[in-house]
Amino acid sequence: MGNDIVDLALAKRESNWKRKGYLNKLFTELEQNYIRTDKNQDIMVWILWSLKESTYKAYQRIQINRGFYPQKIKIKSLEIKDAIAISTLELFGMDFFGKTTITTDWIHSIVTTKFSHLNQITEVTPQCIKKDKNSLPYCALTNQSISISHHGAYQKIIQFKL
Amino acid sequence: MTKEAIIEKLKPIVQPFVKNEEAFKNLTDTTDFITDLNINSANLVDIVLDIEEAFHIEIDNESMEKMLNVENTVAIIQKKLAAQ
Repeated sequence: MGNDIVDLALAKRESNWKRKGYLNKLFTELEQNYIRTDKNQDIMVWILWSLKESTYKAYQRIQINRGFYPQKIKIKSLEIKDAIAISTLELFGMDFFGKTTITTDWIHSIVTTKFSHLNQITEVTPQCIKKDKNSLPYCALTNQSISISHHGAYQKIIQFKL
Repeated sequence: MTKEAIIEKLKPIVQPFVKNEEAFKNLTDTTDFITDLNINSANLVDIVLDIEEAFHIEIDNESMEKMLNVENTVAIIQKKLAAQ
């Protein structure tokens, strides 16, 4: 699994997604269409980005493949209802499932390899964070994999429920 | 362009996004943008776009994929300049 949080106020300060060429480098045609047709484009950019970032992290758990390849992480579907976005993604021929929580201050995505796993994820505040030889975080007390995301004023750490 | 000249031109492009000043001061070939300089991955695209403008080159997705550290980035800039 992987997660990613976006501090919307910080993202506004640090990233100008309207800059020429920006969306083209990051997003596929379908994804750019999601952005173009959404009434809240600012939010949609960061929903899609946090999903890609989370998928990248989730994939590193399966196989380490470092690189900056945002276009290879493809969002195949996305539905938003009651400030929750449910999505399907694909990377290197594998399917991933995303759940994004949208608030006025932050956006938080969780991505797993099975749809049913989305409900088995919980937020934690462990005091036991260590990193393995691939720099992937885990809790040294339980040996459980965790995913950490920190951006601006917000941090979220997730793991599978015990 | 020599590797040294490219690095000198690259530094001010990267600097605004650096979150670890100490690692930036001690920049080497193997310095990683994400794990060493703690640059937010959403800002990597800004660096790529700034490089394109500063060096008057176009960076395709395949090249961009490898641009996580100084060494690879310099090599890609050199390759693109040579192809012109």
